[in-house]
Amino acid sequence: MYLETVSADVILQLTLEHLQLVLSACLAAFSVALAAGIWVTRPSMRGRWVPRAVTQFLFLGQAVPSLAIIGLVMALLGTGAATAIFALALGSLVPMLRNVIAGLRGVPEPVLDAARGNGMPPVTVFWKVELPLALPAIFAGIRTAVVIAVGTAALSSQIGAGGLGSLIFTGMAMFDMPLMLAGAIPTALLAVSADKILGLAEARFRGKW
Amino acid sequence: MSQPLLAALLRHLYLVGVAVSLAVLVAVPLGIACSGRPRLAAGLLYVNGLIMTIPSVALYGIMMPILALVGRGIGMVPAMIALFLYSQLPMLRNTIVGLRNVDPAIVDAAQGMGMNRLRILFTVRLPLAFPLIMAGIRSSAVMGVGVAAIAAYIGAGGLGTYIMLGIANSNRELILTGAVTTTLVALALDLSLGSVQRILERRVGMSK
Amino acid sequence: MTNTVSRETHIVLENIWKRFDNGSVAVRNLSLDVFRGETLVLIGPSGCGKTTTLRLVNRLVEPSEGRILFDGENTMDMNPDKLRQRMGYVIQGIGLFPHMTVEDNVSVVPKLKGLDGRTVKETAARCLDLVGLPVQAWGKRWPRELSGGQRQRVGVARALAGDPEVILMDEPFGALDPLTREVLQDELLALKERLGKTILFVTHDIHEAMKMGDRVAIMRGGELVQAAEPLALLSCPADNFVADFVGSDNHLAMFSFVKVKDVPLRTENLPVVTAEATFAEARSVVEKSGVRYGRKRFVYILDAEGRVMGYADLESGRNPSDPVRIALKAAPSVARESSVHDALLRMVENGVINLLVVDENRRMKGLLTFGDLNGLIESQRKGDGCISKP
Repeated sequence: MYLETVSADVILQLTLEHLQLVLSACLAAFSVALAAGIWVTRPSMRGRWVPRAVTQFLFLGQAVPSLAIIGLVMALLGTGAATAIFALALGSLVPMLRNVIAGLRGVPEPVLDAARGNGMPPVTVFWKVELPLALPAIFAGIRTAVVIAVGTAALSSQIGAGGLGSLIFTGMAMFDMPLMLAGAIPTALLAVSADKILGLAEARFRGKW
Repeated sequence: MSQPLLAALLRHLYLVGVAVSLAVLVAVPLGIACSGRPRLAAGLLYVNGLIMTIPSVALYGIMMPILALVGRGIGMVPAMIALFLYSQLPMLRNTIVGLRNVDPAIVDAAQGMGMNRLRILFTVRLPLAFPLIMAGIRSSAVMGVGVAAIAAYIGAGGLGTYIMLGIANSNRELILTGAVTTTLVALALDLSLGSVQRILERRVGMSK
Repeated sequence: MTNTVSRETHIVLENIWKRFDNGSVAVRNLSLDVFRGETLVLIGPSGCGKTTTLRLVNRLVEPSEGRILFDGENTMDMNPDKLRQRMGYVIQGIGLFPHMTVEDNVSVVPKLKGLDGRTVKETAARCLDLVGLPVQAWGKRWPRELSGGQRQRVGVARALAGDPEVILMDEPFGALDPLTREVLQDELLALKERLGKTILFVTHDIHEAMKMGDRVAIMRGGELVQAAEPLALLSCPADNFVADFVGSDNHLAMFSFVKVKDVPLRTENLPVVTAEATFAEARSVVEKSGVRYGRKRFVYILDAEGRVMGYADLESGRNPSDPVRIALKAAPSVARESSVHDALLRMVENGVINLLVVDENRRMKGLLTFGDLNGLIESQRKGDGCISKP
């Protein structure tokens, strides 16, 4: 492809494709992160091996470079959008899970004790006290994960996922600067705006308390 | 370990090491300059924060045309510049916070003993801020391994080349070699710099 | 401390044992009755099991053995949430919900109970009023805007909002500075008078315990050592541990709990005369009474109705035939309802070793002598004087 053949329509379409990759991966990762995070932080799990294993996993996981994740997933599952989403989800899982756990653990013990002591049923304590107070941290995790995912999604074009990455890499291979910029700039803008928008949402939660 | 792999590993470490070291030499003095100047701090943190959100691929893509003008569009130079830029935020932020969080009572005591501001900075505040600065170096280094891996695509070499070629040729062995070694390097850096951080924390009396 | 406490039991702990998973035994064979309307303070050294005992009552901790009866019903047979909604719960860490306004915090239990919106609002307003934070000014504030003392007041309001019969308090003022602590203690005492709830209060501060409690239960190593009124603990400690813990050798402390009317007073053969008596007559009355004096000897002067007018110094150097009223001076006295501690203070302030005891109409009721008080201290020291309230 040369720039002459790359119209604004194509860029837009690729941007949407890119967004789709990011959002589906993050949604999947978030569901797992939320479920696992809630499970691991329950009082009944205190001292058991699962939370410790999860903490270890998170520690190791956050050091793994995104390119390595993409490569490994491809080596095991082949190419295509589905594997790309899986790789992206995997990469997003770590920051999200980390923050879900930190957020839930960060709720002050006296507050939970007071809630139960006043006769709140355990489920109500979770929905009305624990989760709302963990929300700022959880949101920070979502924000981090999404921004990282935008970048990793660009890489995943190499394993056949589409998105803006294809423009960047093709441009690099062909030494076609304008083509490369046509991919790089929207990617950068996507990442920065996602960060700003989610940052506003996070600030809204944090400001309240 | 095979020759090419070793070479790639060394190159990778060289990239990360040089970039992070240079970053420290800039970020820490900047951080020091920011103490007492909240607006400068806010401004620098904002700009660096912005840079952080730009994915490395995109940054490479944007830098290439600019650097190509000086004939350095590909290779180690853009990789180093990107690594340098990305390392700024963690180290800058940690320096600022580390200096700010020094117990005011300690600074007060030092002043009371007749130390001037510069001496307090170098003999009291900086040492106490070391552990946090170390944490910043650690996270920059770990992140840097990943950024450097991607730089394989702009001809910087390093362990990323294995992954890149492996993906391009659907060669499982290449991918695994690259991915596993890169991960191991990242982990090794994380753990070793982590121990240094803990040693510093203990020396400064901050261990929990 | 003049609460009339009914002897009807409200909460009964029967042979309670609590063992934790790590093998530690927090509570050993504890049996304790809590009476309706009383304030029972649980106190003891760190690790004595007082907080665990409190949490056993509202089932935040469940007993390994034994049972707890609340209004005659076994707490283990009740729904735990409903049980807790019937009890107020105030803790040291305060635990206000940071993401809710003051008003919402207080409204939690009424809402849990399913009361309608209007009742909830009224209840919240009433409870905030009781703690001195009217809802108009404080209702919409956030916990982070409040000082420690204000937060704990909200905590108390929240505990009261469910109209509980029992209030559980775990070192509620422990995290506050001493001044605020004292203010809140006094306010709680006033509230106690007004509301008449049963209160179970845990503390590690013996002064707080003696101040707040109708009865104080001393625990050690998970066991109940002695549960009695403050005065009984001071005068009749069950063993050396209790004696040391409450400071039983501090007789002055004990005197704060004893009223003048509780102490044997001299009511006969008193050195009193009317205003018209002569110095000569006064001297013989004083000698006949046998009362001991310090440096000076006085005769007390009453009017026709037996009301105290004052006293006269016998050594005023007058003619023996002069009426004593010419040397009349105001006499220090003390009321029957005053504490012996205050009486002692008055003696010291006025440099006398006898005090007139009067009623509200200044009618003389007797004479309190230092010798009698000394006798009280002596009997305590010998260990054969357990003072309990009539």
